[in-house]
Order: sequence, then C-alpha cells, then structure tokens
Amino acid sequence: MPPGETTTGPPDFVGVGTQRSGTTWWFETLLDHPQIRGPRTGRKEQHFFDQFATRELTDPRIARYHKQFPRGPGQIAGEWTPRYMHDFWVPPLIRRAAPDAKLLIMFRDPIERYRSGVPHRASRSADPRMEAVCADAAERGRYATQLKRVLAVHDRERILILQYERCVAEPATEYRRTLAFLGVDPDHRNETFDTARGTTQAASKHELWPDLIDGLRATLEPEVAELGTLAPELDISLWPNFGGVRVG
Amino acid sequence: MSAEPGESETGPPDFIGVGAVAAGGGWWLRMLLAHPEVRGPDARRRGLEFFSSFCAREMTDADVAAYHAHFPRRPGTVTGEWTGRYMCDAWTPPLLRRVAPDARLLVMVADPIERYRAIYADRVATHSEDEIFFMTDVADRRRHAAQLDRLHRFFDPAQILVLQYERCRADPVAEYRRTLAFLGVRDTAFHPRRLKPAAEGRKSAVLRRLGVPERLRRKALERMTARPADTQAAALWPELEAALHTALDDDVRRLAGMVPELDLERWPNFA
Repeated sequence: MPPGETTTGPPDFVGVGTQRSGTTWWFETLLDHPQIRGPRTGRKEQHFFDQFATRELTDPRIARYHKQFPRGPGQIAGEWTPRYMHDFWVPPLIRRAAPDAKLLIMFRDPIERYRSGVPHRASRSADPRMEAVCADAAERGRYATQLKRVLAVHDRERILILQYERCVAEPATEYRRTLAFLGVDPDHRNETFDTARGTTQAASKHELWPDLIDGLRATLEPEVAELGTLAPELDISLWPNFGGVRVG
Repeated sequence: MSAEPGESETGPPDFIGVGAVAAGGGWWLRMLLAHPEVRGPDARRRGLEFFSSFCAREMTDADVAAYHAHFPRRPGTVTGEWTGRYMCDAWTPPLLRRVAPDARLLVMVADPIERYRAIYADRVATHSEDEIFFMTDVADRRRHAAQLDRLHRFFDPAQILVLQYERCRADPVAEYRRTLAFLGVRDTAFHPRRLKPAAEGRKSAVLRRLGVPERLRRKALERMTARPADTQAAALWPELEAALHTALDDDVRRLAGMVPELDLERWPNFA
C-alpha cells in the first residue's frame, strides 16, 4: 500500500442514482478534492450489488467490497453506481455493507434523462431490442418510486439530493453543499467549472414525438409530483417538461 | 389475411387484452376464442405485439390501418387480441387510444411475488451459475396500480375489466361469464369444456419422468391441455423477500383500492 493509505473499510459515501444525469462529471469534481478518494480500481461505478439479485450477500463478500476503498488519514472514500437506486434489492444491502455511508443522488428532468438514456443503453445493453431499451429508460425515470425504496431503509439526513440542472447553473454553490454534506473542507475550489458541464450528448439524444411524449408524461408526471414532496429542495421549475405538475 | 364469407371489412378491435405479462392472459384469450361469438386476429398469432416498434418511430395512419386489418368484422361477433406487455410499455397506452378508442380493455393480474418467483426460476434455469442477471424489469412490470393509473389517462375506467388470475383458476365459469358480459357477447351461458381446471395428472408425470426441463414441460402441458400449467416457483431468501415487499406492497394496496373485486386473500404474500 502506498504511503498515506493506511486503511480500507466501508465506503464513506455511495452515489446511488441516477443514470445519464451528470454523475460522472460530479464524481470527477469530487475526486479533485484532496480529502476524497475513489475506489481502488479507479472505476467510478463498482456495480458491486448487481450480482445479489441471484445470490445472498455474505460477510466475506462485504469484506471484499470494503477492500475497494483505501483512504489515508483525514480522507474519505466512495463510489457512484447510478443503477443502485433502480435495482430494488440494493438499498437494504448498502445499509448492511456500509451502514454509516452517506448517499448521493443526482436527479435530472426525467424526460431529458430518457432521451439521453435510450441511445446510451442501446449501445451497451445485452438485450438490443429497442422495446426493452426504451422500457428500461422509462422505468428509470420513476424517481419517487425509487427514492421511497431508499428512504425505507436509509435515514433522510444521510441522503443528499442534487439536481443536475442546478449543478450546471450554480456549480460552485452545489459543490460546496456536496462537500459540506460529506464532511470535508467545503472551501476547496474546483477550477474546471468554467469548462465542464457534464456530458449532455445533445446530438445523439432520442427523438420524441407527440404520442411518445404523452406516454412518458403519463408515466412520469405522478412520479415528479410525488418527488417534489419527498425532496422539496428540488426546483421542479428547472424541468420544463413538467412545468404544469403540481407537487404533492 | 383473407376474408371469410360474411366478412369484408376490417376495423378496430372490440377488445384488447393489455396485461399483465405472464399472468394468464394467453390462457384466458384461448378460452375466449373458443366462444363462437369471439374472434381473434389469426389462429396462430393471438398476441400481435403490434406496438413494440413505436418506441423507436412514430406510428403513422398507415400503421393504424395495418393494425385494423388484423381484425375482420363479422356480424354478431366481437374481435380482439391480447398482448401482455401493452400495459407496461410507457408509449403504448396513447397508441391504443389512437387505434381503438372505443375498445374494451382486459387486464389479468396475478400475485406479483409468486410471478416474480416463477420468472426467477425460469431465468435461473437458462443462465449459468456465475452469470449475473437482473430482475429489475420483472419487479417493475408487477406494479399494476401504476400501470392502471397510466391507462386511466387514456381510457375511461369503465372500459377496463381487471381480472384476477387466481380467481379465474378457482371459479373459471363465473369469471368467464363476467368477461363475456363485459365484452357484450350475447350468449353468456356458453363456456368451453376445457375451461374447468384439472389436475395435470398423467401427462405431467410422464414429462417429469422423462426429465423434460421445467419451462418446456410447462409449455408442452399448456399446449396439450389448453390450460395454464402449475409453475415451480423458486424459493427466495429473506432479504430479497423483504426488498420485494418494499418494492410492491404499496402498489398492491393501491391496486386493491382501484379494483374492489380484487381478493387479496388469494394472494397470500399480501393478505
């Protein structure tokens, strides 16, 4: 182990959502902080809990997970796997494997997330059928449903909810808020905010048409309305696709 | 499709079975099609899966006409199809309203956790021991209250009949008549002889003795008997069971509120 890396253990923070919402950008800004470490593998997304849809999480496997997070004195370590919140079996397992971890969630306008998620998943999915890709992309936008599953097993005060659009608009403020939540020096300045804004991939976004928009709205409006109650810090007016939604 | 004597026109179906996936809808449609007043699109293609491609491109008027062409009209009959995934695909309900705004919709739901166990057993049987696979879609598709909510944005609830698989198995004749009455079929006294459930019996025992894999055994039995075969559900571990309940309990409670005739006593996981 290199000098300064004295311990491994459960992650201090785990990002659990959501895909195509700027989480890679935000995680990289966190790693720019001298007190924050990523996983040993260098990969932001560990996908450690994916496998436990089909097998039980055992103590030896938890120990292997902990070994992924070296940190030196005064440092914290964590990872960010956006699908953790989407997979219903994961939130209780995180609580067992990392009971003191703080959770990070980044939400983005779910229709914009859908438009970005379809081409992203189509290029990587083992199931190339477009209907499977699109169904998955729509379900991933059910934020309130997913957040309630997280809240069922994690304390609300240990969860920081971020909004991609706000992070883009006010990166320094939201960065400071994130650092303060994680318990590290919040005065660290990230010099990249003037040039980097996440990966919107606007050119390759999935095209929408009126019927599809109707179906997506019918699916996602109730979720956005409930999300507004569960997370009042979200500013739904930043999501123009849901301008008419009444929170509550 | 060639028109038979007395049928020269096509048009929107009178009914569409829209859900749920793998919850007995195929069996129920086979029983409906055994009624002389009920017709399907084609003897071999009962579920058309027509709308799947319209997540990737817009449905045109020509597509609507192509859908209607599946349903020849004959006086004194009702016609329809049943595709279990229509209800769970976000893009499909508005398309259903476009192609058949006056259609009656049929939904059959089954105990979500029992269905999860059965599908899990199927997937385990088709994957190697070390292979990771996801069950997220299976749980998502069992959130029937959310799916019904979405349907209600496009169809009057009075146009939708929600059936319960376990009740149809326990009292098939009464539920069959209820379905026929809902569809506006005149002869509600008729029911097919094979509607009543029977033990799987000798055929099943022979297939088991021959070592036929579970999935093939079930398909063979369903083909031979025209009845749903009992599934072998997998045992789950307590942590996963608890997570499934966290994911589904609230939705089942809401479903029971939306469908008063749903008998939760028949769903031991939620009773």
